[in-house]
Amino acid sequence: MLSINHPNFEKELCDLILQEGILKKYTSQSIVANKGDYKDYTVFILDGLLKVTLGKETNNLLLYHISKEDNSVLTFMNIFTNTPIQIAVTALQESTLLFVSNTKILKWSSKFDSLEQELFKAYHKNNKCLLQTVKNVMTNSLEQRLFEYIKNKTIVYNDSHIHISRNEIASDLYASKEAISRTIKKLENDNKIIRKSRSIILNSSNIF
Amino acid sequence: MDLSISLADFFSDTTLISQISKYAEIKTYAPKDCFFYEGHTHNYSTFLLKGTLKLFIEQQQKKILLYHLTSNNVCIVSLTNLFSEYPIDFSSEAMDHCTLLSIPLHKMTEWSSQYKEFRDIIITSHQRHYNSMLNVVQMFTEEPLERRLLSYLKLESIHQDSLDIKISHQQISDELNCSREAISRTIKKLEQSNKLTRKVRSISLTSSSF
Repeated sequence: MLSINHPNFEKELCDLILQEGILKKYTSQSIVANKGDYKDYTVFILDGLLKVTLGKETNNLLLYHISKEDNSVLTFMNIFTNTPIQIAVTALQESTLLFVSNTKILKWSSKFDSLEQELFKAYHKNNKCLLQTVKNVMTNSLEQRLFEYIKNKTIVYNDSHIHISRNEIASDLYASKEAISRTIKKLENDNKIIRKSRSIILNSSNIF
Repeated sequence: MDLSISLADFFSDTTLISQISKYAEIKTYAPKDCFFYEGHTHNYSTFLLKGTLKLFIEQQQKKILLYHLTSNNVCIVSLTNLFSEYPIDFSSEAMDHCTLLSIPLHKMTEWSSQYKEFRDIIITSHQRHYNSMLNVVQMFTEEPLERRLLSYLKLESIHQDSLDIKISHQQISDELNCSREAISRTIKKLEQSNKLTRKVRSISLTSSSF
């Protein structure tokens, strides 16, 4: 039984979303949207965890995550003009999403303040997270970026053990696999992380 | 000052315009005026009406350039400080004569639900900043320093309205966040490939750089 568990949405709005929304389910690592796609939709996240990346074949830098917990809306930042999207979105866990056309979203947001507020929240979050990433990439060393990445992943996955392949880490940080391996060793030598056989964990005496 | 006439250049809803004339404040800045500081909060939201701003972050007393914001359409400058007093996450400097509008925070929610035009400005502003940031991070990660430097110099040239750019290597190295040696080296390389000529106190872009 599907439901939109949003504390501020009126029942009428929830009903509209469920009625008009197109339901899609994604498995881990499946692509929700690719850079260059036309997606004239705004997406409600019923369940799951997504990552937003630059989306270019040779540069798929991780920009930020989207999960139901901190934001129930995924917007492709294209709500007025159906221009090709500028980022890629990938599911990191099994996710259930509801796609609603932007024309309907714009119509409903004039009627329901709660929806408008939620959209503003999503825009705000996207910009805030993207700026954070931009600052990080432009001013921090790979070592600092990798450490932040591990801390961040610990939070979004809610798991102290990070099971992410070196390939994915290298892609997320736009660095070579060799640089990542080297940097992981350095972080371990500095007692910031501990390498296990198939995962990495933060050294808890050194967190934050 | 007859605010309502000049505001009609930027907004179309007449009721919104009268509200803005009643509650908002117009501020003007001269080139190089710095008016936003990272970490500060304001009890108003800032909209750019005319001019170009340089958005940057400060690190160890260097001003690292993020991007420029031009007033093509009305654009909100302070996205974090939109409905509540939340610290601004970048600093801003006027690049030419700028006109900005300060709107009290308590009016932001009210006007965004009452006036469609206002809501639309909020959305398009977010999209503009978002796209600018995507561009910056892409350039920074992918483009070699030569191309980043040339892009930067072209922007400065448009700004200074001259092919002859007066700028120090120090300022360039601060804004692009790399060493002065790397900048000097790269300028020499660009000169060798005829993209620019180094003069005594300026850098002159050639037509082949465009």
